[in-house]
Amino acid sequence: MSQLPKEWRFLRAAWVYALVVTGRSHAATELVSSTLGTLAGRQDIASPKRLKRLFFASLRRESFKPEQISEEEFAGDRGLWAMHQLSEPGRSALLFLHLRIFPTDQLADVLGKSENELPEILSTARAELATKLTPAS
Amino acid sequence: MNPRAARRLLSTHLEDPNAAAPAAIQSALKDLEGSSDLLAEYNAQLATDKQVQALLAEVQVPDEAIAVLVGKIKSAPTRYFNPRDPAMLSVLIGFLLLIAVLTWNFLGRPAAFPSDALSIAEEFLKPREQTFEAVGQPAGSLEDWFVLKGFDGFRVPSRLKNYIAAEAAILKLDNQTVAVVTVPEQNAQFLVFSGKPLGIEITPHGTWRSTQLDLENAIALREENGMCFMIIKRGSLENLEYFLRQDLE
Repeated sequence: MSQLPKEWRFLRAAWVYALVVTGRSHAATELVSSTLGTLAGRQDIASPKRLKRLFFASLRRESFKPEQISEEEFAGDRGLWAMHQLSEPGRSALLFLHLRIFPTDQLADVLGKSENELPEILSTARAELATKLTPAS
Repeated sequence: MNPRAARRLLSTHLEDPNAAAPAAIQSALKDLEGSSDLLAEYNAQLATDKQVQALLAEVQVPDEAIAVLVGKIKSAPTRYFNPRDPAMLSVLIGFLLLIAVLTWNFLGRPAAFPSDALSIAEEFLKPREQTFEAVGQPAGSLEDWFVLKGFDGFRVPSRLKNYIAAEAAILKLDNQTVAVVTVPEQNAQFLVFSGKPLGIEITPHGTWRSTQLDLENAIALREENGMCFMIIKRGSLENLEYFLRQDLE
């Protein structure tokens, strides 16, 4: 089994994010791979923290491009489908928070929002998700 | 913290069963107890978060996806030193500039004419009341004359000893005691002063430093055993250097 290099271990979390956002396993791999291809060769990114921030900002931007899919086409279970349906930027905020990718201040930065806006974004996303999730999921 | 502010803070918090909550979060939790509505809202947040955690924990990243990503990382160009990178270029220019400044400072300064000696020469050429005494002796024989006047260490380079000094004086120039003799036949003045207080050291010893002082005068300086011997000669630097070459021949 292949192992990710230490500075790229966050790609597992990136793939999970991409799966929820794209809804398909191969599309998730393709999305993470293409983002990786754009950033891995950049000579000007020296700091691992900056690389990670740029990676997720870029991944999120690219994730808006894939076409809409139906629930039948979605690869994950109903709970993930509910998350897939959340509106932005709440969906990305909630996923980044739960995947423990960034501290709060950086999370707002990656979303292109201020730190003051983040509590409202997360509250709205949680409320939206709670209505979509049934006890069975 | 009021309950609403506490609630806002807790919105960005995610409970970690393996770590204690930060102090700010613990404080916010206490403050939230003042409002049952907000507390209920927070409990709903915890329930939703638990569901999300469970959902995400079930997602397994396929080995094929990891293999693709590892392959992509391996195929990416490795980081290399690129001198065309603006950051590298700036560092390189800065480093070269630093080397140039240090070279100028450490190598250039000894080769330059000492600024304190220049100040003494400039001070000497300012108009002043006549305090010279007529001597009419070879410059090299005035050591005792100066000792009797209170100046120790007046020495003239051997080749210049025989020039007749018309007048002599001990002056206070730029806070330095300076022995001066005038040599009319060369349109020159010989000045002797201690270089130690001024930190003047010319290496190798016995060599001359010379420069054009102003439009009418050129000066030359040498230092031996802590004493500086300076010539101020009317005319160009070329004339002075020719005079010094004669001295060496």
